[in-house]
Amino acid sequence: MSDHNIESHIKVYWNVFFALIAFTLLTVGVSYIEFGSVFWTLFIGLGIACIKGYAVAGYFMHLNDERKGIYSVLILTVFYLFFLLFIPMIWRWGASNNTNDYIPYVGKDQYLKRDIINKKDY
Amino acid sequence: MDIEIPYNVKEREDTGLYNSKLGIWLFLASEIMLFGALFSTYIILRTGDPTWMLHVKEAHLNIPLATINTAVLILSSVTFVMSWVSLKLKDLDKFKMYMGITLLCSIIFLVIKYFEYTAKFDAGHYPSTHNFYAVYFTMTGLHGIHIIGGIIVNAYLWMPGTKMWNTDPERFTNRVEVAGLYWHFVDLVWIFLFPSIYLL
Repeated sequence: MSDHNIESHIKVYWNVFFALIAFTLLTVGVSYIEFGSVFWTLFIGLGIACIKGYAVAGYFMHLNDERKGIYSVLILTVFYLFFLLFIPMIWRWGASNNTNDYIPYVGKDQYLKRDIINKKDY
Repeated sequence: MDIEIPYNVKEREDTGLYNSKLGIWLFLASEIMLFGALFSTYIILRTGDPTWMLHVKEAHLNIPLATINTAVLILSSVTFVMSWVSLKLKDLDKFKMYMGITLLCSIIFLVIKYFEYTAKFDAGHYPSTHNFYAVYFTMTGLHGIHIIGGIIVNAYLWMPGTKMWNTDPERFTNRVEVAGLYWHFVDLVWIFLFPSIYLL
């Protein structure tokens, strides 16, 4: 890195910092808005987190201009991570067809009763 | 007898990387799977419990404090990257200043976490109280342990570790870069933990 190059990098790092702070405030702000559906609440909340994650990984961790070796390590990791995160979703889709086959443990002294689940008051 | 460890500074021809950089990325890959498994568990427990949100509301998690903690951690990330840039510019004093701020931020993060935890304990909320608290304490606790690990390494690089700057500056700069990759990863995990546990 030449000195001129470094100077421009410093600017980028601080800009990324201010953007991350702004996105943090935005995340907190939108969490108070009712979007009407769980999907949109999660989509917007986690979408902003993904943008922030990209900024940290891409700029602070220099993934935007890294060597091929690292990408090949990470592609495999990302593949398995998605697999890991989708397992519970696939499992829940199957279980949701029959609520009675799954009674969660909700506290140290009690199991949730089936009739409470079916009331859906929460 | 001095034996030189190869590829500490020079990049290997086959990977295009110096060895510790490849090493830290492999380690971070395993860390992604560790936290990924916990996030996966969190999804299972949350979607399987219709009373989950009730407990989240009752928990009264301190969002302003957690927001300040997020900002503190982001600040520590940028000061870390600036400490590495300072070494690239051959300015050891600035490195020490920025690394000092990074360490200060990480301690502030832990102090805030301490107040958060004690408030929960005082209210009689423990990991055994409900699955929500089990997830909350496990995930933020594991993240906190990572912060402590980072502080130990960063404090070493800040004080006694700087000796290497006089003998092998390039290798020292690489050490700081590798420690920085770990630190940014810890920041990255918090970026996802914060909305998942406190806000959504």
